[in-house]
Amino acid sequence: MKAINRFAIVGIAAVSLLLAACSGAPIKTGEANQYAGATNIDTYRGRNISATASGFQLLLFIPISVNSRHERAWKALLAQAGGDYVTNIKINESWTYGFVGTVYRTTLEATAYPRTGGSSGRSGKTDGAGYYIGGQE
Amino acid sequence: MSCIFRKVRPSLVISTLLGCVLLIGGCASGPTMIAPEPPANYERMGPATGAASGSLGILGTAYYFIPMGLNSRVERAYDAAVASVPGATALIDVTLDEYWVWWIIGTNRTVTITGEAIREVK
Repeated sequence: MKAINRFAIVGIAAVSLLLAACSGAPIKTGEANQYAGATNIDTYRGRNISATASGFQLLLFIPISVNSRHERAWKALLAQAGGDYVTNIKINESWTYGFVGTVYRTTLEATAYPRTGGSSGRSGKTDGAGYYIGGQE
Repeated sequence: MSCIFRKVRPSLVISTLLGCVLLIGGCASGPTMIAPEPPANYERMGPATGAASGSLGILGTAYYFIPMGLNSRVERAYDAAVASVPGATALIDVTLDEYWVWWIIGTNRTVTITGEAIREVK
C-alpha cells in the first residue's frame, strides 16, 4: 500500500512538472508594419498609444491568462493603431504579489504614425517587413 | 525591553509584516525599447537572438515575492540579441517570446528576443 502511495506521489509530481512549464504567445512586431504596408507616413502627426494585459499565476504553476497576455496586449495596441505605422515599441513588465499567486502585467507603448496619400511626411520604399528605407522628403 | 514586545499585539505585527510584503512584493521593469524606429538608411546584418531569464519565488506559496533577475529580463534579452551580431546597433522584425518553468520553490521566466540585426549606414 505504501509503495502505491509513493508511486502516486511521484506520478503526480511528474505530471505537475510536465504541466508546469509553458510558452506564451509571442509578439511579432514585423506584423504591425506589414499590416500598415504604407509608402507614405505623416511623421508630424505621430501619437502615443499604449495597451495593457494581465494574467494571474496561481500558486506559481497554474497560469490563468498569463501565457496570452503578450498577445492580448499586442492586439489591443494594434487595434489602437488602426492600421497606422507602429514603431518605437516599448514593453514594460510588472508583477504584483497576490498571496496565493502573482499578477503579471504587460504594458506596450508605441508611436503610431498615420498614413498619407499625398506627398507630405516621410516617404521611401519599404522592405519586406514594412520598415522604411530611404530618407526624409 | 521584553515588556515592550509583550505589549505589542500579534495583529499589529501581522499587519506590519503584510504591509511590508505588499510594498516589496510588486515590481516593474522600466519601459524597454524592443522595436525602435529604424534609421533612414541601414544595412541588414542577419538574424539575431538573445535570451535572458529571471525567477520569482523562494520558500512556500505565500512567500513567492522575491525577484531574482526577473525585472530586467527583457532588457537583458534585447541587449543579448543585439550583441549576438557584432557591429549591430538595433533590431528590426522583432519577435518577443516568453517561456516559464516551475521549479518547486519558484518560477523561472525566460524571454527570447529574435529579429534581424541592422547597422546604420551614413
